[in-house]
Amino acid sequence: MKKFLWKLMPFTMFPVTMIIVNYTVDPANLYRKNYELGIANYLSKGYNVTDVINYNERKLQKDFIETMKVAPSEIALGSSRIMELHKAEITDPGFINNGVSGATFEDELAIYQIYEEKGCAIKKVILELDPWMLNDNHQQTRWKTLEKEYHEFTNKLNNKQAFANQKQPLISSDYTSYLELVSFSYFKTSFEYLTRRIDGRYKPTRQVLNVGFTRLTDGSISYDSKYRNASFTEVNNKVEDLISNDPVYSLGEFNVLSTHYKNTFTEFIEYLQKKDIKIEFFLSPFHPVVYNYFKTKKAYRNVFAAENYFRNIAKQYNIKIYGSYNPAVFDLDYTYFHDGLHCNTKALNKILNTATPN
Amino acid sequence: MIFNSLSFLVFFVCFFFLYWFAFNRSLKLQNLLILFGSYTFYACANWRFLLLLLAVSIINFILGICIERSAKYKKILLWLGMIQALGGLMFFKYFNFFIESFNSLFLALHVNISLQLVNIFIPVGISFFTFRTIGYLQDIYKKKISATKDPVVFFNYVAFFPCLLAGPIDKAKTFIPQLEKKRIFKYDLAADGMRQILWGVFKKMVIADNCSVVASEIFGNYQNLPGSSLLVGAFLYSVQIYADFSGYSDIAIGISKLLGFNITRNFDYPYFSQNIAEFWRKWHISLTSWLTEYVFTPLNISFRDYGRWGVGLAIVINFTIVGIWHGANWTYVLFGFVHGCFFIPLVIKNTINKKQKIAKDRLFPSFLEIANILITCTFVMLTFIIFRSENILNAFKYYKGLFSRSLLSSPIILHKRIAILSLLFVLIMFFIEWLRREKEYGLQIDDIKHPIFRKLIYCILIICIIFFSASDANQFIYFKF
Repeated sequence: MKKFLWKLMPFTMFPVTMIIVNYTVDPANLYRKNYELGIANYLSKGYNVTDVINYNERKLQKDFIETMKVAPSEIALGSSRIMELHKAEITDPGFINNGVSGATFEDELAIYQIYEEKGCAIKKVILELDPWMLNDNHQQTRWKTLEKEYHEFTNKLNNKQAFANQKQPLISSDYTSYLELVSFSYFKTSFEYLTRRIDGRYKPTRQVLNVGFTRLTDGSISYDSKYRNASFTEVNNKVEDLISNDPVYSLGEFNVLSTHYKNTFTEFIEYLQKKDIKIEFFLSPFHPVVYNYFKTKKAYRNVFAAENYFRNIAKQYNIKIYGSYNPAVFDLDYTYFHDGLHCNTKALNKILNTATPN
Repeated sequence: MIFNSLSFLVFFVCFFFLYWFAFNRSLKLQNLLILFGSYTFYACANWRFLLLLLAVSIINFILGICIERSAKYKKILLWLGMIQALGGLMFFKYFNFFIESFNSLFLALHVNISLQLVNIFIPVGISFFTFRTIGYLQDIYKKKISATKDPVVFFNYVAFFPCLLAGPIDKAKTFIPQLEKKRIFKYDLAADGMRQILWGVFKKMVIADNCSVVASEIFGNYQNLPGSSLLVGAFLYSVQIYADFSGYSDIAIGISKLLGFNITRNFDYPYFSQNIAEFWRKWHISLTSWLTEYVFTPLNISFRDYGRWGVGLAIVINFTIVGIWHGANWTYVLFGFVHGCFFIPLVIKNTINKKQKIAKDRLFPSFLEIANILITCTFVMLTFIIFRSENILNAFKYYKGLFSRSLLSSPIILHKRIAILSLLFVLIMFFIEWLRREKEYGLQIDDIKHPIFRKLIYCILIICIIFFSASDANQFIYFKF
């Protein structure tokens, strides 16, 4: 046995090297605790921040809200599919976009909770609603960064019982980031950063459109120039790439509209309306090819059911609704899209100027 | 907790040290630890079915003893065991399939019976542990083995964690004696196990997972792609399923070796086979040998009056069962049936059992051998299209696209880099396996005497795994069977 273990010893250099490189290079800033706080400080001081890469969007939202000097009156909650909605498109100067990639209802509740904790009196909430938000099997776990805030908020809801049985993770999300130390894909990125000498440092700027990805003072984003100016073929490749994945983004095993999420959603609406907060819904369209793909696949039938459900809820609670998952409703062709999931600001403007009937 | 995950690594390292350092003094304790480890492992996969596994183990343990002791009710008890095992399998795996098929059949006859589907979760590994228990009872009935009186030994036989979720399906007569004998740590066996694990991980993470990216892309969008892309998709899928399952088997066998067990070999370089019979002697060996013993042989005896036709019929039935064993879908049935039919020329020529060693004492195969391999592999690759498709109609649409004029056009592939990388590693894998075809697995290089050269090979493989493994780790394909 001793001989066996001794012979294995030299091979421990692989995990040890991986851990050291991953920790020191840290391309996603997992172990640099102040990365997001630095961005938030700039945003709160009125600077846009460019060359922002690999950061925890939820943590940034928390830091951003906590460092805000003036509380917003209108906020947008949702996924990356609304993150390009700028203050300019909204008439309210007190608008802040709090969208986060792959948002679920947990994110929306948790971010709203951060505002409540800070004592902000929000007057209007735009809820961007994605079909996967009603999928029990969406596989999104990123919201767990704001798990504490989420549970604090659900404690305030009427039907606390519905949330009592939710699974509590065995390991806190603070610790799960340490699992990346032994992740191959994290090591590959670290190695790339090391060999290409990428430092991952962000810069404050007054410009809105930059070469790099930029976070704007109103919380929204502008994509890097390559993404913004993608050619038809590049967009088309991204679309093909998206639908070639089985399942398509967070829509796997979407067998039913989740009762749990439906309850969460209506409870949230009732809570906001009780506080006299105006609510608006926003349904971000899918790329025409993606939408048509959903139509041909039985597995995605609940994408349409989700839209119907949101429309019914809007009617029931007398809420204005913008947009549709169907791009044809607004005559949006491929020029209105960055990829299969994300429409551009041109599309957002078009949608906001056309209120769709419930 | 899949084998190539961090959680399994932590679990197994802890288990390994407890097994050899804390529990090594007593065989009973070691067996108890294996049982505890196996149930923990199974609970991590799906804790809800742990009770089912336990119940199946208890029932079959008692039935085994009763079959052995009873002279009068032996056959009834065996049938009880079969009904319980196959009934469970039918219910969990095939119930909805039968309901859907009945509904479709009656609908075709313009009778709307609309039987309701039941929301059933399939217990992971059910096909594997069910076959183990069936084999055990059959062997006792036929007096090939005697029933074990130690419940821990039997429960371990059913639930031994390296082989619990996707085999190999070891027979009781080879595995139970190993559980009853004190295990001593053997350096050579453990080192061999480590090598086999490394080879399995390489095949799974570098080859299967990368092939899967391109194959999924093509199978997911086959209607819009030229025949040449579909050919690439079919080729990569047939490599993916081999690398995935044989990689899994290598890891399972390697882990067992680290614990002092010798497990049935599951693959013997099937893609170097010269005909379909040889292919099935080398592919999923534990399943085919199980079915040969418990299905084909009894069928063959029953049909012996019909001569070669009887043999052919027994083979077709046997392989249709092989197909349906994989899951509740007509695609699997058709896959098995077609494979069974492909045996018929061999039955007619009476060459079914003819064993031909490929390139014996030569480095390269002859032209005839190459032609035979190509024919066999092409057939297998084409039938894997049925296996991979959602339904038979889709499979035929895939064939239509494949055998169109666009077959000669240049392929359109989104993940070109991954496709090239996959093809490169596939070539490397087959080259290594060709050179080591006399060995149990590709990396069995204990005959290379220079330790530095051996270590260099291990390091290259580890570096390949780190840098070229696919970003998204996939579940092992055979877990769903």
